[in-house]
Amino acid sequence: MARSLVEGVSLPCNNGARVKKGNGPLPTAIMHAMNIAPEDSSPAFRAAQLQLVYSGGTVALDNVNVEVQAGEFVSIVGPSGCGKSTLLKIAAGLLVPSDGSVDIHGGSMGYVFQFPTLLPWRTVLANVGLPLELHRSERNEAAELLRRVGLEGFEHAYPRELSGGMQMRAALARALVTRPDLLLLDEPFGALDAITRHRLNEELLDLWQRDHWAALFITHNVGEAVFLSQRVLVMSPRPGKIVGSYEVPFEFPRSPELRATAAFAELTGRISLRLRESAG
Amino acid sequence: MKKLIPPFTTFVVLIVVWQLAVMALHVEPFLLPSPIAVLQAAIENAHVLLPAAGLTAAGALCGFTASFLGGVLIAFIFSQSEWIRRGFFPYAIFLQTVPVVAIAPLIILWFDTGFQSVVIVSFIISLFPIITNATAGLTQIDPALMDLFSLYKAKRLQVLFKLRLPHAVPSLVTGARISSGLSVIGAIVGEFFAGYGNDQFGLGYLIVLTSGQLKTAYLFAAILCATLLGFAIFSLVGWLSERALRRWHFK
Repeated sequence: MARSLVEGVSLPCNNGARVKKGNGPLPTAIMHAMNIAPEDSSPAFRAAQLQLVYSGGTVALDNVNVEVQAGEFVSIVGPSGCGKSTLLKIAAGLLVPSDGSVDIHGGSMGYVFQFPTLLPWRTVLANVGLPLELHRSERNEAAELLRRVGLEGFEHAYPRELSGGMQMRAALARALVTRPDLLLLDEPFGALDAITRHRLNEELLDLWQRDHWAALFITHNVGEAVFLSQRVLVMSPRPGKIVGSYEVPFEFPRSPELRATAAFAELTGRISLRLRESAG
Repeated sequence: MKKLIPPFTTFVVLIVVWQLAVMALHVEPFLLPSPIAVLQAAIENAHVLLPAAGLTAAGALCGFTASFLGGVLIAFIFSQSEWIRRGFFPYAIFLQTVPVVAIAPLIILWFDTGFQSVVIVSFIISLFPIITNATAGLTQIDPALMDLFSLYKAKRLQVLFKLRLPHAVPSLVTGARISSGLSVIGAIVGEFFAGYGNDQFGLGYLIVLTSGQLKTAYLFAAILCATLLGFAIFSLVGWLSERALRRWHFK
């Protein structure tokens, strides 16, 4: 039913990447209101039967399968050391798995590190423009991206002159400046205070709803994962594997008040319990 | 200005105590001359001291420049290959521990006495802080920053010019500061044993000469000049490095 509604506006739904780019806000809004991912034979990201064994014999990842549909927001929660960051590094091509495959549809991807990871000798604007510079791209949307993350007026400031939250916004702008189809986020707000983290969660959703990249978000904060995602995956340690998957039914746009609802607390609690069981 | 009052007061008190002590205890002038005698010797021999200081300064600056350029080049090569770094670094450290005085005869044998040998000694003594600091700056980079550059498939040269080199600037500056002080010591040590054979001579040779002749006040004046010279070169490099580091410091 929902799918036919989308098809009813005759969009090229066989390609999720095209759905979320270039087209009007209506179809994506409908899809997100219905909380469905576009029908697509090739998801934005697919990791199949990932295995990572360190040379010492330690199994870091064991048969991990993760799929993120185009435009979908998926989080992975897990205790520290469960291999969730390792999984993201493999996804980004920074680590090579022992076995299994990783496929990024279209191949364009942005990555947000655990820490802002800005170059201290570059201004905020030059930091955000770095990916374009490395690709020798003609485009220059760094200033536009800075405006979008609310850093207008800080173009010529140096990273150390910004607060932790502002540095993270700059890192976010940098990850988005190449217009990726997939954004990988490795506990980006873990080092921030709760209020700043909440605010950045809301801003991240605003950015996502505007451009609808697919997101794979790593965190150990269950509330954060539930607030942001359409789907939450639970990962257990030693060896790292996916032990649970939860659909998050809340509609978009999500307001800060969602955090105060019983349904939110119930789901967060349920996932937290599962997390504790799996962590042993 | 207020900050300068305590050190200046200390200085004046020390000089006065020194002068009074020499006068009251009737110390032999060839053992310890009074500050006034040192000043007199400095003024009387200014026509010798100034050109000598100039030559020592030239030797130190040449040695420093050579070690800066050479050290950066070596660090640069080290940064390009872990194999080269592992293969050569231990020997670089080993060479550093060879006392310069011990290889002085070799330097004279190969390069003769004179200005060039002074520069070589200054170069050898001031080279290592540059190599070690520049190598650290070029290689000890936050792995996340390296990941960032691999994510965007940065070319080797892009990594070098956009990440390694700018990252190395602060540690290179630290190395240059240490090295600048050492280059003056190197020039003076070099002049001790290789600073003759030319018409002109530097402060190091003057120190050997005056101590041999028991012209102690003159010797003190030469030491004073050497100290001021070291301070001047250190300050010059410090000032240059402040300028180079402006981007790294909070306004």
